[in-house]
Amino acid sequence: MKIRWSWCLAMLFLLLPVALFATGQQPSKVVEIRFMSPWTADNLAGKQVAGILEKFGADHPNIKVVHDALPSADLRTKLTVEMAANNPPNASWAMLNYAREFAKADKILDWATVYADPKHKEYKEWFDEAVLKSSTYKGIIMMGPIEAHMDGLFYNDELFKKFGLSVPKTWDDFVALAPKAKAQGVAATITGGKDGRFAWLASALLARAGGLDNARELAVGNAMDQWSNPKYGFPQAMQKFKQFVDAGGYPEGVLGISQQEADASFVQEKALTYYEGQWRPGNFKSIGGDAFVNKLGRANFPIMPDMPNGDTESSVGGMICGLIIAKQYPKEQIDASIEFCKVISSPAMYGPLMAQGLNIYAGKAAWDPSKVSPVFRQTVEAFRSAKRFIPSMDTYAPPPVDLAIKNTAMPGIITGQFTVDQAVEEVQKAAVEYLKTNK
Amino acid sequence: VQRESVASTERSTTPRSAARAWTKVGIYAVLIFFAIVVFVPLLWLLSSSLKSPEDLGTNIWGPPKRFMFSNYPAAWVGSRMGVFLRNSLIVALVTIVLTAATSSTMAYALSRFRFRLNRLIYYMVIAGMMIPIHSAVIPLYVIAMRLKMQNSLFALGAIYAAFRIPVSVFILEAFMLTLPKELEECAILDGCGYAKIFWKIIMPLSRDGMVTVLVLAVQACWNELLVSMLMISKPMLKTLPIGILGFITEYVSQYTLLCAGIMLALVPNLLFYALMQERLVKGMTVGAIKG
Repeated sequence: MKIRWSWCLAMLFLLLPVALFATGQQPSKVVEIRFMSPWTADNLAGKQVAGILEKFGADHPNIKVVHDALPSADLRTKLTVEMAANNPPNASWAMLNYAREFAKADKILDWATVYADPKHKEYKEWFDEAVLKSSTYKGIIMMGPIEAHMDGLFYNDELFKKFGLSVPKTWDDFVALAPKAKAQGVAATITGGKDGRFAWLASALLARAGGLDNARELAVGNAMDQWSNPKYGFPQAMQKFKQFVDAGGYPEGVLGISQQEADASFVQEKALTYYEGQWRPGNFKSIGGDAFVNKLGRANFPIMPDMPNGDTESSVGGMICGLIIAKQYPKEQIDASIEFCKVISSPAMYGPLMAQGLNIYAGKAAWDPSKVSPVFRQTVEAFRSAKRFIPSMDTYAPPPVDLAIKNTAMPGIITGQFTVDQAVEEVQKAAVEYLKTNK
Repeated sequence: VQRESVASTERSTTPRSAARAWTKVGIYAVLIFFAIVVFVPLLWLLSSSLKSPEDLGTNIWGPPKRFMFSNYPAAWVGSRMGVFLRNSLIVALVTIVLTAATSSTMAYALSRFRFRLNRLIYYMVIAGMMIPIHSAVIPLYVIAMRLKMQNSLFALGAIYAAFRIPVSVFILEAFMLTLPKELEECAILDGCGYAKIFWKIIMPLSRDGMVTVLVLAVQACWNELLVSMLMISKPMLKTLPIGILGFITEYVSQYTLLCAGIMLALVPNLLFYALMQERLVKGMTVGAIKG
């Protein structure tokens, strides 16, 4: 009996590789491309992509698309490893700052060649020129456009009315709101401090305190080692943040609150406002339903009239993610990738998502605004009328600098571990270190 | 006199038995505390898997207001859990077979044969325990790419097995050292070769050690995410941890389905552990004491 078991084991050992390596043979004429995205099978965007893949497969029988879907954090890890190993996916969803690193290494396609090609004239029909060129870095258009992002100071209108408060327009109003909210037993605002959700706030503060040009110089320009220089506005931005913290704007223990808990607290009316991107109302709706989300309104991030260089009209958002195409592959694979990306960028992909109030399409898509919540409608309108954009810090500054801001400096100010100067110094150190290793 | 001696015995034993009782209470208190530490997250997971998203959002710690058993079929169907489960089982099987085949033979050679580089090889092998899988990710990826080992469940299982070899050899070598040499000597006198000794004597006697090694290997490969994520790109070849992650998305995450998915993913691992538990404990302790 025992001898038989050992034979079985040996046979299994020998047969497994044969069985497993034998799979996956492709007909030689089919061009296979790999597309990586954060649209997993379990969400609406994933289902939308699945439908698009099916149709694309029927329309292009000579192109086989392998859809490698991963949550965005894991996607970034895999993309970075694969780029380093020179084996990237043919096309992928990517964040602006990751695309920039790949563009620096000359690994991704310049979309200008695609837009100039009459075969792909649809891009100019679907998107404005400014949108198409929004991801330009040193003359290279890094990403094909897909979704758009828009910030919002989402507020609970019913609570504001109940407490006789008005929605803050200036930063001083916002700071003054903190004690008034506290007196009513709620917080002025809330965020997922445990998950370091300060990237959007950091960009908004920087834009309002130092202006967009200075922010650009710090994040990607010639002043990447000048974060502690007041000329560029970052120390002032942190000073403003400290004012709000000292006024008691956040609830106790905000750094122990995850974003899920923050969303839930906002729905439970424990905070008056919530500042972040356009997808938040979708989360509020999934927790609190239509009844709650219909109470919400959207306001612009408070302005800072006392900051001479500050930009009062900019919004955080814009085209902070898009589609990149690896340029190292044979021409037929690049052509197939462009063809597929075009379908992903089309109104057919994003129209239905927008109609459900889940995301904003960067292009022109017909949609029915009557079916979405008022707050989502206001966010779309704000996006369409926005004058200028600054990307959120996690897609703008180099990754170590972003981490130093949202995981070290801002939490340090909240806990009192750092003074403003010390917090700024932490960011400065990270920036200098980054530049040393990325010369 | 007798009564006095009984009384004095009572006087002397009562404080001792009271102390013993208090020690027992203390031990139980500590054990109950650790049991709670282990069980509360599992109970929370179970409770969350039975809530609606609204309920989880507004009632994070409390029991479900309404039991949403539908989360389970939704998690199963929505994320292709059946496919991912099958893939994870294949990977686990490959890992088991390769870990068993390589570690047992290597441990046998290292524990039973005296040769010049025996200890050097042993220390080189167990030094592998110090290398975290994350630090080897890029070279591993490049090697796998060059050998065209991506998108293969067999290759993934082989990588996991390779990372299990050091700890498995460490456990098995210690285990095999405890087996009496006389058994082998008798077998040799009876005309047994080394292969036969290995199969007929060493392996049956090392069963508890093997079970320990294999249970640990299954647990490690069942939960592994990073290497699986890097090596597998084809949707139909992905393993369970990646499938479960599909519930977390950039914008709206489905935490109730995620919890249900994790509960489902726990079942095979728990079953395997429950079936092997007795031998696992024996294998760990025998190796530890005698080794």
